[in-house]
Amino acid sequence: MRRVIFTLLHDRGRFQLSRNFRLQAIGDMRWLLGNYALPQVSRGLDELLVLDVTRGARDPMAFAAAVERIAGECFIPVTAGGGIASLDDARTLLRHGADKLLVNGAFHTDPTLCRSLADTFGRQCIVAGIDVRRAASGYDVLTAHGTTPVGVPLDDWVAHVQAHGAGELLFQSIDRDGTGMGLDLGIVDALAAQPDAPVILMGGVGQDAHIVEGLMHARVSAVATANLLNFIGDAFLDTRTALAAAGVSVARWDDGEVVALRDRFAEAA
Amino acid sequence: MHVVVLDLGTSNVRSLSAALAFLGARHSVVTDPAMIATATHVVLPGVGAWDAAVHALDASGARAALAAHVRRGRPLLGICLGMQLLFEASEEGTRPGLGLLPGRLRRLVADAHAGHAVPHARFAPVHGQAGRGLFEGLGDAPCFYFTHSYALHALEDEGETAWCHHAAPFVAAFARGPLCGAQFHPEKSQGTGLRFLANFLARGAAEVACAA
Repeated sequence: MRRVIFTLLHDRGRFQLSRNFRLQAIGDMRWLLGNYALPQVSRGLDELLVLDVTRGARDPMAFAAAVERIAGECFIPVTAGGGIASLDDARTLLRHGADKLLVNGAFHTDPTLCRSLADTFGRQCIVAGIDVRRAASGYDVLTAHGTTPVGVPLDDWVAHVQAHGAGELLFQSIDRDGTGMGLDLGIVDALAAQPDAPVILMGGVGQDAHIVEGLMHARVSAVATANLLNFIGDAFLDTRTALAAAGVSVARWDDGEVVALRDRFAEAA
Repeated sequence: MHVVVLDLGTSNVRSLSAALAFLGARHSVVTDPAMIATATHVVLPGVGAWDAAVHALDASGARAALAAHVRRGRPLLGICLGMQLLFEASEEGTRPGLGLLPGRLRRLVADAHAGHAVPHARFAPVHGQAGRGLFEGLGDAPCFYFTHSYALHALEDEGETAWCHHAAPFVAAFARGPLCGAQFHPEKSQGTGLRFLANFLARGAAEVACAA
């Protein structure tokens, strides 16, 4: 079964739209919860990804509080990350409701830490963020919000992050980010071999058809979108219907179960 | 009812706590295994690596406390790594598990061309216990969220056993007397997972009543 992931970009209390990695603040937690009733919205999603995209001085506790609030609204896996630079940073996020960690820059600046994260929390907990930009031939891999080339070819970088504990690979297209022009499937086609780890593709989703196209690709396990304005309301439930109609295997859940269970044990307690 | 969630320090206990709170179950998240003596139900959650988790169990004295809880016939639910720890050993590490049930965890086999990546991280359908026991009220192949690299491929003795498939069949969930386990994360599996947790809590209450 393939996955649909909704990504929330957070910068010191404000959720962001990103276009080619340039940010635009949209609204705060109140805005988010007002426009996205997460207990309902999450029923159309396989996972949430919450990223601290703050450029410059971060506010880790404000971010952890945001993760906690979001994770508390839904019963699906939550991945959190952005700026993880120590085991304590990771532990803080896990304690605030994250199930998995998105690690990007540390694979460049501190690969030993990445291996420690995998040894401590398990490889399945570590999602490697790999930001790529189209180059004259193939793709360049960049970190630090697309500012710093890692200096090795894409295939070598994929091998590097897997050798240092990555359990999943999230490829993000800097060129397509926020454009709504569709995913860059050329990224996964450019890989010399299918990685053992699940591949998540992000960047460019503007409509259901883009998610369908991505998940029809044999190499793509999951598609993520950070498009904060195109999937308001029940849009992700519609996405799942479109996926099922296209023959993509996706999980379905009975919406009535959550409601029926509420307070079942209130009397016993 | 008093559900004790044992926090080994690497687990995501926040989401499990939220799920129990949603169900209205009185529960405590504890790091001190002495609290297990007060529990009608224990949940052993799991995110983490095998050896680190076994070390945490031994360092805290949880090994004996969990065994005593089970000897009293009280229900214990292991989730993900917590389920794996109920068994004897795992290819992931060298330390001995709790050994409450016979079995050894093996690494999942990746088959990239067949779409079987490792870790196995996705919602996947579970078969074999349609609508019964821990799966009461759920359909033929309810979907649960898995994220793991190791799995139990065989389970001896009769009892409730549900299966999932990833390159090969593996145990998705089971019940053997008071011992219950789920390789998936019920606290992360939408309303389907909440129903599974509710079934665990209900089952336990009945068994404890009988034992008393």
